[in-house]
Amino acid sequence: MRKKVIIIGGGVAGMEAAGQLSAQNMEVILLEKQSILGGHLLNWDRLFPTRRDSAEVLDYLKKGIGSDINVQLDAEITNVKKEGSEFRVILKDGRTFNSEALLLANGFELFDARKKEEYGFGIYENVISSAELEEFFRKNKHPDLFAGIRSKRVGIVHCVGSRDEKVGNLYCSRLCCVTGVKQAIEIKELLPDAEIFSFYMDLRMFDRHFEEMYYEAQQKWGIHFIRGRLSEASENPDQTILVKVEDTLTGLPLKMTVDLLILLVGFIPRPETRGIASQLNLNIGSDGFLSPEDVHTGANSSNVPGVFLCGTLKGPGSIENTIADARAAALQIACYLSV
Amino acid sequence: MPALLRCRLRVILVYKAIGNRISFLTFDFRLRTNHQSLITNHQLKTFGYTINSDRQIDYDLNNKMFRDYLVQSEPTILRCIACGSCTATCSAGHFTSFNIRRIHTLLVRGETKGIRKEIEKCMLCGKCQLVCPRGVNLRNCILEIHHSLEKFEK
Repeated sequence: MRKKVIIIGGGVAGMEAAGQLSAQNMEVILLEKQSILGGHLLNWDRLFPTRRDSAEVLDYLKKGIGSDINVQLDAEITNVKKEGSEFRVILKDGRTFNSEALLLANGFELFDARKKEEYGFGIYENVISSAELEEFFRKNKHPDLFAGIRSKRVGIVHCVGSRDEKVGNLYCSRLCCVTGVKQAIEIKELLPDAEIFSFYMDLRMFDRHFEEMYYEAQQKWGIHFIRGRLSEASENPDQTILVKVEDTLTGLPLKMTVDLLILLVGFIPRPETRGIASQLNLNIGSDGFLSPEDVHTGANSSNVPGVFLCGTLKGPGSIENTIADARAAALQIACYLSV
Repeated sequence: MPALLRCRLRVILVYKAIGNRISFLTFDFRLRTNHQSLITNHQLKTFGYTINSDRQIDYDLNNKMFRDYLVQSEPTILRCIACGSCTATCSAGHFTSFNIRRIHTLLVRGETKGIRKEIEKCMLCGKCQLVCPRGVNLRNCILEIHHSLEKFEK
């Protein structure tokens, strides 16, 4: 008899794990809250560091979802139980599923920039989030409709909702830095005359080719990087945005007007994940993301036997990291079920 | 009662715009109750109102011609990551206030005040360029700063 695995979350992690588990002859039930698979990938236009179309990655993931995978859309989970060594997942509409192993791949949510009220998101028309810019690239391929005029000067604010005790998030979201550099280059490609300023605390170009992108942004595109965290953004009568920051490298306060201000919003844990974690007694880290059994050697197992974790519900991660993590989780589940 | 009680009140009475820059009109009031330390002549002279000029970088007002000229004549200037290697190794910097990293940062923000006096401290030894991890052609940058001073700040 084929072993059954329930995967919660049909984004990058869930889709990749489903494909891998199915290839290992397991019966996979893939639960997705939305009415479409893909998760956050659906909202992204192009991906760092290659700036390829996100649809290409989505196409790859879709190829793994064969007809033998039981995909359940609009799946809002109300109850997750462990009964002996079996799992039972009950959805809001009454659908119920059983399995021998459970893989959590719920992913993350984006930080709500309205919580940083001093940056004016949701108040001023020309303050937008990095996610909105991606959406805009997808639909319009031009960023100046935001300003209603051609944006002459664009500010990009790093670490919005990350490394900030005031919003309860001490962690670094890791990928906003490179996203900011990518978006700066993309804006510059569309508006070659625009001046672009990145306001950063630290630039964390940790992964392969990220530093090269940063170099390209400086040398080829002339993007300016100002080290300092924005204290506030306010709207001028003409709807341009006045930003105030300390230019920490000169030790002087600095102000400038920008036509468009983009806030690089970070990762936060999904509130639903917390609910599932409490039903299963899973360990949650001080940052609110789920804790694996062993951070070095057991990154895909949890403190509850049979419950596995993969992707960004364990903290911020790239698509590359998430796909690798999903494969590792699939392998670990296969080992667990074959014993 | 402490031997010296010094109370300094710095009251911002009013601020007013001078040109486009905000300046603060401040009022210093010093009270000393120590019988040994009476108010000095100097303090009497400075008692009252003083005007502090704005030390903020106002990017909108700054003239970027200087910066644009430098970028054009020595494009590697854009690569700086402000690591400070140049300044740590600088011969002139060991004996004077010369800080080429900071001068660079100020120039790309369009701040040119006082640059002429500072840049003269450089002896063009080129050690900064030897250590730069980003390959900024610093010696040429300094020469171009001299050229742009001739060009724009006569």
